Amino acid sequence: MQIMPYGENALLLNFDQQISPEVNQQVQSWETRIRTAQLPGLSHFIPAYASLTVVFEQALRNPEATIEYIRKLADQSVEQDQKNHRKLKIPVCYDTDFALDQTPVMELLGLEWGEVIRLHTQTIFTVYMLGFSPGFAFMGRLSEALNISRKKNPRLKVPPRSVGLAGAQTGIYPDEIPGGWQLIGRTPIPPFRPLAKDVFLFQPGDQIQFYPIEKDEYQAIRAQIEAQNFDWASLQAKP
Amino acid sequence: MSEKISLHIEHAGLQTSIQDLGRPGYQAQGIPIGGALDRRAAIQANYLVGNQLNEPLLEVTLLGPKITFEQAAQIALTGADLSAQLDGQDIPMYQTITVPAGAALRFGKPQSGCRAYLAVGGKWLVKKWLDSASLATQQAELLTPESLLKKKQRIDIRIQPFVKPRMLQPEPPKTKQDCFLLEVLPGPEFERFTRKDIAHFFAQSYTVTPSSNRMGYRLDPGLINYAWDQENISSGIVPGTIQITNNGQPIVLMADAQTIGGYPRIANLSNESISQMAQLRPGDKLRFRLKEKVTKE
Repeated sequence: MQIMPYGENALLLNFDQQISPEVNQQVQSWETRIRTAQLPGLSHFIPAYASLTVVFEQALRNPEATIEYIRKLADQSVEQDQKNHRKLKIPVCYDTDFALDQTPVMELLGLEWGEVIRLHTQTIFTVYMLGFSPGFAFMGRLSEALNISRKKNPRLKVPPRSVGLAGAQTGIYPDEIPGGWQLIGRTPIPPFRPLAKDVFLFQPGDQIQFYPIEKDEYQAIRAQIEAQNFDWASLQAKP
Repeated sequence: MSEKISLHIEHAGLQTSIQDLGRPGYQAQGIPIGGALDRRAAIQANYLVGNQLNEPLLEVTLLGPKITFEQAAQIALTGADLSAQLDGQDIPMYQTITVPAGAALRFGKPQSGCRAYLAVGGKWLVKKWLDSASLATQQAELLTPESLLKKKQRIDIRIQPFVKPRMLQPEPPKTKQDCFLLEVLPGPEFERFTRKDIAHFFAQSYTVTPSSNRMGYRLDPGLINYAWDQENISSGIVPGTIQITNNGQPIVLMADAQTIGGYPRIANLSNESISQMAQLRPGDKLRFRLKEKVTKE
């Protein structure tokens, strides 16, 4: 791991530069370590795939000393990490009406649609980070058979709650925004509810498993969410 | 004395928004930090009227609003000099000013800088989202409906006892220079740029392009014959980060920028230079200089 000053107010921790659950777990562990150490003047964190930005309220007077201090935290064990991560089960409707890229995905991957669904629902994904748009969670790792390039011509408007694939990642578009991921379905669950008490569905480190639902069930959940009587706790996987 | 001061917005100006020090703590969820672009000026303005330093205030961009104060108030102006007048009289910046009930504040010709900050003493009764009144970068109409000023809008402020007038040394005028000099520190990918690119980066003078805004300042010209062929994994962004896009254009990311970015980061502005950058306008010229390390013995 490398630690370096990042502007006057922040430090950047760089890990092995690859997108993988293993490297991302280190990002999570280091955030926990630094949070637990209660560094004076600490403001907030920006965890990403393979880096952690640690932001302070003011310019660091002696960045080298803070870097040294953080380095020494390496000895702190953070065993309970894995246990602390929430496990969420997210329903996805893989119906042709929602899987806007069904045909190119089947052609590019050389897979039957049922196999795409099976592979997408059998893996437990890690939320590596959120960004680019509020509440957009980048998750991985996709099984190799689902690795796919982004669309050559990104859509100007991706329907909200679309589930997509890109490289070895999967994710859900929180809003109607432009995007180039290959769309394979849609979830009835909004990842970003700006006016709700719980604004964000996902947090970095969450463990996510998708499960397939039919269109009528999708509509039923949508209706419950609109009527504000959806049981959000039902998304938490039973331990 | 009434409980509340009401500001009546007669007209809103070009881009006048309510800002505070933003939304620290939500960047892990992809929310830009936001807040006053020139944080130093915003903090100074609130200090001058005896407010919490994180109290909302107005960020006035180039062409200011016209505001009537329905009750007496204490105000302070910092940042850009936009020829503020109270009932037709020029008023000084960087000091506490007591405004009588019924007085009108208006702005005239922009003299220097880009963004002025208007603090009004008291607790601002405005809608907040995620602990901040700063104009949201998305769905602003829904989330922070009061924070982009509109004609005929009212802003209510719960009054507090007036403070003894305060004064600060204004920033020295920067308009005389034909080229602003901004101090930077090496960015996370600095060492991975070629010596040629780094030499160009510091040798060149840049112009602020018209497509610059609260998210970022785009600079012209780009680095010459720039080519980046290394892999880059997206990483966190802090205000003041200077990234180089694929065609060599430097973009200085500001408070409303996305929280994660994928372009290589050649340098970061010092805090002082972030405030300076926030006061540059399209067409202004600038250069970068490496900030000397303060050596501690």
